[in-house]
Amino acid sequence: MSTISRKICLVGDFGVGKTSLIRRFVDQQFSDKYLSTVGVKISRKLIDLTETEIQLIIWDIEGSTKFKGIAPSYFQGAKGAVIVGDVTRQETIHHIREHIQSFLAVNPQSYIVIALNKSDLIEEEYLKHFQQLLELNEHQVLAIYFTSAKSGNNVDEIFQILANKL
Amino acid sequence: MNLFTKLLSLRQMEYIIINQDLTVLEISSGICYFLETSHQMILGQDIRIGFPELIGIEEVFTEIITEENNFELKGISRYLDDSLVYVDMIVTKNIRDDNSANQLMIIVENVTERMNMEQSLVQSANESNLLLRTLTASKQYIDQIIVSMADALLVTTSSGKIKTINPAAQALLEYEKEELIGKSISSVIKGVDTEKLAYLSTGDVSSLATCGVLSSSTKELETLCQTKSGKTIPIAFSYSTLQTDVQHFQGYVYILRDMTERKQAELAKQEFLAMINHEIRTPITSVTGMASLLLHTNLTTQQREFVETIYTSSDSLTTIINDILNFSKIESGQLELEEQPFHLQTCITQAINLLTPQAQEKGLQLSCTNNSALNCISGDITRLRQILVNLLNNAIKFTETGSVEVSVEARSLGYNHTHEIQFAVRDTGIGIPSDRLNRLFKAFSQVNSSITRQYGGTGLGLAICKQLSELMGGRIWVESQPGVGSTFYFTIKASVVKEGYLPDKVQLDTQLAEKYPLKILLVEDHVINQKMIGMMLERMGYHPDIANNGLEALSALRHQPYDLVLMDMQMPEMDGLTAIRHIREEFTSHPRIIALTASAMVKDEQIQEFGIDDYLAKPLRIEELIRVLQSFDMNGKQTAVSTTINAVALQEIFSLAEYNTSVNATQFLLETIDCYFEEAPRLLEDMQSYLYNNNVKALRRAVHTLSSISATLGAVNLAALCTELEEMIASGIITGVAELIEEIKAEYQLVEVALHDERQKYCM
Repeated sequence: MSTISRKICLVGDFGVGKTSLIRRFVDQQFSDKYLSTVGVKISRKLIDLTETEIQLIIWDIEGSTKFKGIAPSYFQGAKGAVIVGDVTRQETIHHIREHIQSFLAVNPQSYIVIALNKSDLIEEEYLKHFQQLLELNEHQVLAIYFTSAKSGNNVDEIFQILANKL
Repeated sequence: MNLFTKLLSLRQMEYIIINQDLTVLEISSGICYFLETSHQMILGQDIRIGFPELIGIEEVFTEIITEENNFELKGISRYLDDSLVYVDMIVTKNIRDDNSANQLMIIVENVTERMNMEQSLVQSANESNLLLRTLTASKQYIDQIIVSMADALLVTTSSGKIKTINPAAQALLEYEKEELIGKSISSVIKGVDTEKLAYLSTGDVSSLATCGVLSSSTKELETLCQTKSGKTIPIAFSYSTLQTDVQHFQGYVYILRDMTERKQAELAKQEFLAMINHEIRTPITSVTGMASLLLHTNLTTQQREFVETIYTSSDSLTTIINDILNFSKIESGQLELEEQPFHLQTCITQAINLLTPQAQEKGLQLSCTNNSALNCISGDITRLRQILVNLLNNAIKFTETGSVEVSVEARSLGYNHTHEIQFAVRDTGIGIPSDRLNRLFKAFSQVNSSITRQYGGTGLGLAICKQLSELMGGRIWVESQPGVGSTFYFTIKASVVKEGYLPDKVQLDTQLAEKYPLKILLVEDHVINQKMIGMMLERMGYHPDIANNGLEALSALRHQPYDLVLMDMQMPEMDGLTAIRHIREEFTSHPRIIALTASAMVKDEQIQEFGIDDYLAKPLRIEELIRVLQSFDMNGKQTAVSTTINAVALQEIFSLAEYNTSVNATQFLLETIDCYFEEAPRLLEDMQSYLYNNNVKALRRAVHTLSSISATLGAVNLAALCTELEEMIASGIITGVAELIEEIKAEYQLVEVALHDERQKYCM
C-alpha cells in the first residue's frame, strides 16, 4: 500500500479551537486550558483509505486577530483546509468567508471543510441558526460540520472527508 | 570557516544549499540541531526529510529561481530535547555563489526568544479579548434577566438609597427610574426602617430589628408598597446583601412581587369555601338530623337499615367536608387558635370517650397513661382534641386485635411556665412500610390507594394533624413496624395556668329573656337550624318568630317591630344580605341584625357596609348567643318600642297629669292614647282622600295635625315623616307625596303596636 503525504491547514480566528481539534484528532486528547498558538505547529496523522494510505501534514496556523492576519505563505502547497469557527462567538463565523477566500486565493484547486466548533456549548435547537448564517457557494467547500473538540463529536469526520478528496 | 559562515553563526543562523531536485549539496555545521527528525542530514539527501515544512511547496522553489523571489516561513515550532524551539526559514537563491544559478539556499534562524515573547503577548491579548467578551455576555445575560423579569427589582445602597430599579419596578411603583434613584427604600416599601436598617414588621422580620443589621432573606416577607399615585399594593419581597470588591459597593437587592392577584384569588377561594361550606354542610346536617330523628321512630327492620345507611353516609360525608374545609382554612392561614385554659386530662378523656364505642366494637383495649403531671394548660382544647381523635381514629381503624394506648409526657422549657407536651398514640395494628412513612403527612396522601378504598378517608387527616401540631409550636412524626404496630408522636407547646383561671361551665340562664326582654325574629331556611336555634332561645325564655327567607322576614317586619333579627346569610328566594339592605332602606326603626354564617367569613368591612351589627358563626355556640343577647343593652341600642315611641314623652304626659290632683294621671294618659288611636287613622284616611281630590290645603292641614299629635305621644319617627311631607306640600312638590303617605301609614302601624305595648304598662 502506497503512502502519500498531503499538507492541510487549519485556519480561523484566534481561540476557535484549531489546536484542540488537531489534538483531539491526532492524540485523542482535550484540555480546557487555552494556550495561544504562535507561528505554526505541524502535526502528522496517517489515515487508511481503501487502496492507499495518506499522511496528513496538518498545519496548525496561528489564529488571526484584528491586529494580525495570516501570512499567505503558510497556505502555500496545501491541498485542503479546515476552516474553523466558534459557535459561541458569532463574529468568528462571519470571518469564515474571508478565510475561505484567503485560502483559495493561494490554493484555488484545494478542498475545504467547515468546522463549527464548540457545539457542545450551544443548545441543539439553536445550531440551525448557524447553518442559515453560512450560505457558501464555493464548490471547493465539501461540507459544514458542527464539531466539538471537547466531546470529539465530528472531529474525525472532518479530517476523513478531506482526506478522501485528497 | 569563511566570512559568510561566521556572520550567520553570530546570528544563530544555519544554512543548507540544495539543488533544484531538492537534494542537499552543502550544510552548515549546526543545521542538525533544527532537523525535525533525529537523523543526521547527509549530503545528497532530500531536504524534505529533515524539513517536512517544505513538502508541497516545490512549485515555490521554481518561482524563486526564475523570478528571484524569497520565500519565508516564520515561527515553525520544533520540540528539541523536550523543549520548544521556534525557527524562521528563508528560502532564497544561493547568494553565496553567483555561478550556482539552479541552487537554493535555505537559511534557518533560531527565533525561540522572539516567539516566546510573541506567544506571551498574543496569549495575554487573546485571553483579555475572550475575557472581555465573556464579561460582556454575562452582563448582557444578567441585564436581560433583570429587564425581562416579572418581579420588581430594586438595588439600594447600605443606607437604603435606591441605586437602580428594573422596568417591572417602574411599572409596579409607577415611577420613572430617574425619579426613584436616590430616594429611600422606605418611601416605597412599608416597614423598612432605613435608620436601623431593619424591618419593623411582625413575624420573622422582627428578629432582624433586634440584630440592627439587615441580613439576607430568601424567604418572602409580606408587606405593602406605596405607588407614585398613592395606591397601596400588597407585595411579597425578599432581599439579600450585595457586595462588590472592585468598587467596594455595599448594599441590598430587593425583589418585590405584586400580591394583588394572589390576594384576590385567596379571597375568591375563601368566598368559594364559605359558599361550599354552607351549600353542602347545611343540607347534609339536615339529612343527618332527619335520619337521626327517623331512627327514633317506629320503623321496620328494612326501613331502619335504610335510614342507618343514610345516617352513616351523611355522617361520613360531613367528616370529609370538615376535613377539606379545615385543611383549606389552615392552608390559607385563617385558622386562629384559641388561647383558653383547660384541663389536659379532660381533653384526653373526651377524645378517648369519643372513640371508645368504635374500640369496643372491634374488641380493642383503649387506654391512657398521663405522665405529664400537668393539670391546667392554656391552649386550644378543640384543636388538640381534634389531633387526638384523628390519631385514635386511625389507630382503631388499622388495628384488628390488641390495643390502642395514649401516653402523655411533658418537660418544662424553662420560660413563662411553658412546657413541651409530647403525646404518643400507640397501636398494635397493621403498621406502615418504612418507604411509605415520609408521605404520610402530605395532603391527599395515604399509604396506598387501596387504603382509601378499604378504609375510606380523604388522606387529609394526618396533614391536618401536622399543621395543627405545628401551629401549636410542635411537630408530628411516626415510628412503625409492619405487622407489629405504629406509634404516632406529636408535641405541642403550652403554658401551665392555675386552676382558678379555668372558666366556669356555660350556665344557661333560663331567665335571660326577663333580664333582656327582646322580640326576636329568626330568619333561617333550614328546619333543623330553626329548631336548634329556636330551642336555644326558648331555653332562655324567648319566643322567637321564624321566617324561612329574606322575603318572609320583610313581611314579618312590616307586621310588627322586632328588637333583634337573627339572619342566615344564604337562603333561597332572598338571601340575608339583600334582606338586610331592604330592612335598612325600608324601616326607619332599625332592628338589631345578627348575621348567622356557616363560616367566619364575615368581615368588619362587611359589617359596616351592610349594616350588620354582629355575626354568629354556625354551628351556633350557646355562649356566643348569650354574649350577643347580653350585649344588647351594653351597646345602647334602643328597643323597637323606644325608636317608634319615645316613652319619655308618655312619661311627661303622665307627670303633667299627676300635678293636677283632680285628674287620675293613668286614666288621663290612657284616654289620650285612645284618643290618638281614634284620631290618627281618621287623619290618615283624610290625607288619602285629600290627595285623591287634589285638595292641597286640606292635605297640608291634616298632615300637620298628625305630625303634632304624634310628636306629643312620642311617635317621633312618624312625626318626622309628617313634617317632611308637610314641607314637600308647602314647596309645591307633588312627586313622591303618595309614596310618603304610604310610608307614614306603615310607620303608624308600628306606632300602633308600640303604643299598645306602652299602654299595657300603664294598665298594670
